[in-house]
Amino acid sequence: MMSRGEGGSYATARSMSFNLQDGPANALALSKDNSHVVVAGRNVFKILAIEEDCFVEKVNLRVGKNLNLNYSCNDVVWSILDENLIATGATNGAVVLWNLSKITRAKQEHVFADHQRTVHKVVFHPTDPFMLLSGSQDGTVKCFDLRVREAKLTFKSNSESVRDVQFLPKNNFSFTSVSENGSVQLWDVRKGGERPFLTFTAHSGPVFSCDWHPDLPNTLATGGRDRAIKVWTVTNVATLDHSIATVASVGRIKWRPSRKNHIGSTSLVVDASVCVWDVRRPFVPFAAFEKHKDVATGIIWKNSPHIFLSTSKDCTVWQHVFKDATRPASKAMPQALAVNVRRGEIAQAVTTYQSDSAAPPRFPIFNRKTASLDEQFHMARSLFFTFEAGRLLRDGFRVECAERYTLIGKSPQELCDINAKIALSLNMKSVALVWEITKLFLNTRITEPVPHIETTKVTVPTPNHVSQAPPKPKEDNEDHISDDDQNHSSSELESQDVLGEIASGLHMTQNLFMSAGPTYEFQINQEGPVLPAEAFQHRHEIREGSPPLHLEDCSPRDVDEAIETVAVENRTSYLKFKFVDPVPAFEFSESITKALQFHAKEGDVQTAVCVWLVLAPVVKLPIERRVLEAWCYAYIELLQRNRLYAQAAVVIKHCGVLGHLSQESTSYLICCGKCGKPLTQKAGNFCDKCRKAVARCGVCHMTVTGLMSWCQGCGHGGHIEHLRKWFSGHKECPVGCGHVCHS
Amino acid sequence: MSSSTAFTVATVDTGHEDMIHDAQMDFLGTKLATCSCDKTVRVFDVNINHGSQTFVAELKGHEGPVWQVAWAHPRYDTLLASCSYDRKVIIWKETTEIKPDGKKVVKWDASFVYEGHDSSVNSVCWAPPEWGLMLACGSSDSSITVLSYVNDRWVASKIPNAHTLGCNAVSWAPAQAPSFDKTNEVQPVKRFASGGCDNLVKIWREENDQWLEEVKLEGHSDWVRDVAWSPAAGLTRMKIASSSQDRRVIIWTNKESDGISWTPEPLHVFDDVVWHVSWNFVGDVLAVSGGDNQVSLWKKRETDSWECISDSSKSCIQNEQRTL
Repeated sequence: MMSRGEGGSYATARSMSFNLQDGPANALALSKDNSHVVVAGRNVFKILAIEEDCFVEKVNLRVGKNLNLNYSCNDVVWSILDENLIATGATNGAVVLWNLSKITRAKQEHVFADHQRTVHKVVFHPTDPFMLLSGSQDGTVKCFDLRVREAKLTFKSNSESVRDVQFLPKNNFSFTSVSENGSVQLWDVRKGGERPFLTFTAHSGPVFSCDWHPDLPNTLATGGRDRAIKVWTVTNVATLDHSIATVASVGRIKWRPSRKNHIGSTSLVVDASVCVWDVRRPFVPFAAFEKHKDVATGIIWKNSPHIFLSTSKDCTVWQHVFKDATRPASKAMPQALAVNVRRGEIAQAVTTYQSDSAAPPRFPIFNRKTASLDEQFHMARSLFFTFEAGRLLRDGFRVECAERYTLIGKSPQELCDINAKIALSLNMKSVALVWEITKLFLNTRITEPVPHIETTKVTVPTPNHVSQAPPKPKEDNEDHISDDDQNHSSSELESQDVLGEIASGLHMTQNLFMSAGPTYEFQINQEGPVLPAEAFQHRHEIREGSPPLHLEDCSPRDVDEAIETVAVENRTSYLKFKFVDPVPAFEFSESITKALQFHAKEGDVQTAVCVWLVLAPVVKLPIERRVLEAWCYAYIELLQRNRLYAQAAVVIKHCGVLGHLSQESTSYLICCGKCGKPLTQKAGNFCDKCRKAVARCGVCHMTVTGLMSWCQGCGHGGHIEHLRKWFSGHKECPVGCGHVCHS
Repeated sequence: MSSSTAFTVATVDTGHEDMIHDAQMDFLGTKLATCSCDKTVRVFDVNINHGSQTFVAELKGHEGPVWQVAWAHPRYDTLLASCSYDRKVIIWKETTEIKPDGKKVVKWDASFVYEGHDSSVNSVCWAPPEWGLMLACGSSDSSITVLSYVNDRWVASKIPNAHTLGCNAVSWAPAQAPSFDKTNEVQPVKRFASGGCDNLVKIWREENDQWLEEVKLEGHSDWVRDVAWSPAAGLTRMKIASSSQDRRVIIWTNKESDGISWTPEPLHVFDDVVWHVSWNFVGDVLAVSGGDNQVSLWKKRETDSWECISDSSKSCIQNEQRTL
């Protein structure tokens, strides 16, 4: 993992912390050999030795009788050339030099009181041991000569406050300063403090930190309150290369050693974590270190890309090791998956680790990981696809079916027939088959036996069609009767004018009726009380000369015996039947139930619910209520998803198990009929504004409790009985409003 | 049925500048929301006939990568919840403004921002509409928050230490109808499942306004990345699909419908991390999206084994059963 010479003993280094106790720290600096760290804050100023597995406090510099504001540090820096020399910037504007070689307890060497306001930053020259720079809230940068102990030069930044100063690497004469007005300035110490040789605006709002890349020439990073870290190439002009969007205002930034694109950052507010970013991946940190409880204030790399130290407002110093970092990107979901139920479509976003060649690849994509994880990190791109997977996802639901199916208003047999045709026309053969079979089963339905011969009256509205008979579901027609048979039978019926054909199976008679056009009363009767024609305890084929085909359990003998007399008398049919040997009832509900359960299990709740709905008025299938509710719920949701609200309402109304749904989301507001003021619950039916009870009877002027009737034209009404009486003699409104309510 | 069907593929330019972490269709299938590392959520209108997407709005408000989005049921207006690395959950509301010239202007505003989590919020999921407006949020701070809209206010109910190391996914159980059958009256129970970095799937049940851990499902050997409670629970049985970094998808079935005894059934061992699982609307087809960037559809056969009925890579027929 660790390359040799990167300093520190990375293999053995571990994350560790030290509690400063005395207060939060504002900054920290490492000694030249990385063995010690100095931590400074308003109330803390300590030197800690960095041991293998802990920090050890070596020196407390905050000692002496006179602990004035000079000890209150904003920034601290350890000389690179003289390991005994430390400089701090104090909140009172003092720049203080400390000499560790002093034998006294107090190590204070010299105080430069040149700045008027807080010093934000102090920095030693990388090669000149006697040059020190300081940036201050007073808007100036001062250059101190440590030999003469005075400020040699003052650079006026023309802004309120200088937040950071940094020497250019490999350049002994230039430095940058960043200030609260968002600008970055480059100065040449040889040219004096009048004017910077380059100024550019880097951020909208204050810039709090800047750092030159240690290896890349002319590469400067800046961090500001606008929650951005920006990377610039600075030559004669500054050009923006990258912009990282951070979670919070950027406090401190520091390039990661030996890594071209990595930079560490701390936040000024909100975010307590220290993040390391890849400048090419501007939205998610490459690594995050979440040890601190409060925002980190200082960050410094321990001469190794794998170890760094940070200090925080939570009064701790941490040594972070890269192996303990969290990698937010690795936690991130690299794919997205969305299912569009309505269109039967899947949308998928996938991450590819291709470099910028964003040509849409041919599907399927295979991208085996080749680059290392670190290198891959910045190359993540998402491709977004949609797949048609319609049939597979929507199996069992067809919008067309939902729209066209007829579920109520006709006899179950007719409905089955209609729906079967719809299904067939949509090429849904298996569903059509279910409908057909259901219809056939319906024809065979056996109801409670009526114990004696009866007569019934059948109203036949059109005199020229005398042969219409109630399509009594009585026959065990397990197979289709061919069209030929039907035609034959209908002509036969017409010619014979005999109603005795009624028992010849619904399939036939129904077709006959449909061709005849009119609808018949008996179809309604059928759902009500049991008609005498259903008195057969067994099914018959009574049509002479055309015994049913493929009827396994219906012998011709039955047919012959089935009819005794059938008479047609002036629009009134009298039927008379004689019992024959009972044939055991065929229990089909179980088979249908199984079929429906199968469809539901296959995801086709549509067929299950629709067939059940059609059968519901005549047959109660042995389906658990709970299961049925679930089917209906699922189907209703499907309808709603497809905005088929009318169809959903039909299902809710007629399914019988979800009646409460139609009462949901219905709210009504009551207001006074006179003034329109909404009635509060507290007042009952008393209008505050009119000072009268509302809903008064227009006739008796008493308040109506219970049923009230009113005119939709004028809004007046009253007790139903009173109104009835009134309107038997009047046409106008009883209130006298002049509205002609009863026209 | 083992013949796999090839997909028709269309590429969509979402306009995101970085990785897309989540995409969700709304209830009616007419809106698509995507969220990305680039801190934005983008909303598209989906043409229901051609399936083409039209960009509608970019929702800016998060300060970190947005991990997940979720559409509320349309009966509560057009609401979209999003959660982010910035520890926030934002509930966006669409409002339509009609300009004097008759033009409709669609606006998206943050109607509520929840900032009660201490770490990245990884997952959001709306409860079934029967429970009202209710949102579960799973976070890396190991807690889960259930936000509910009561008396025009959002009220947060926190489950601390739901998953040590963090919660990655939450998914609600469908609402079961309050049964009118007097003999067998079942009180509707609010439940949701969560998956986390502790390799566990947990099921939570509301009792006296408190969320209790009902059951802990152990079966995965690495982070659980997604959980999906099958819709229409009563249709068959309660089922939960969970996918994990251990490359497996497990289907948990509750045979007794008591919510307590769950039987694991391995769906398949994939070649790579399985990121997403998603049921179709009746809960009989499971879409699985894995680290190999493929989508496959799985369906339970009569023989009770799960079969891959379709795969986005044409060559794939993965219907052999492997043991765990």
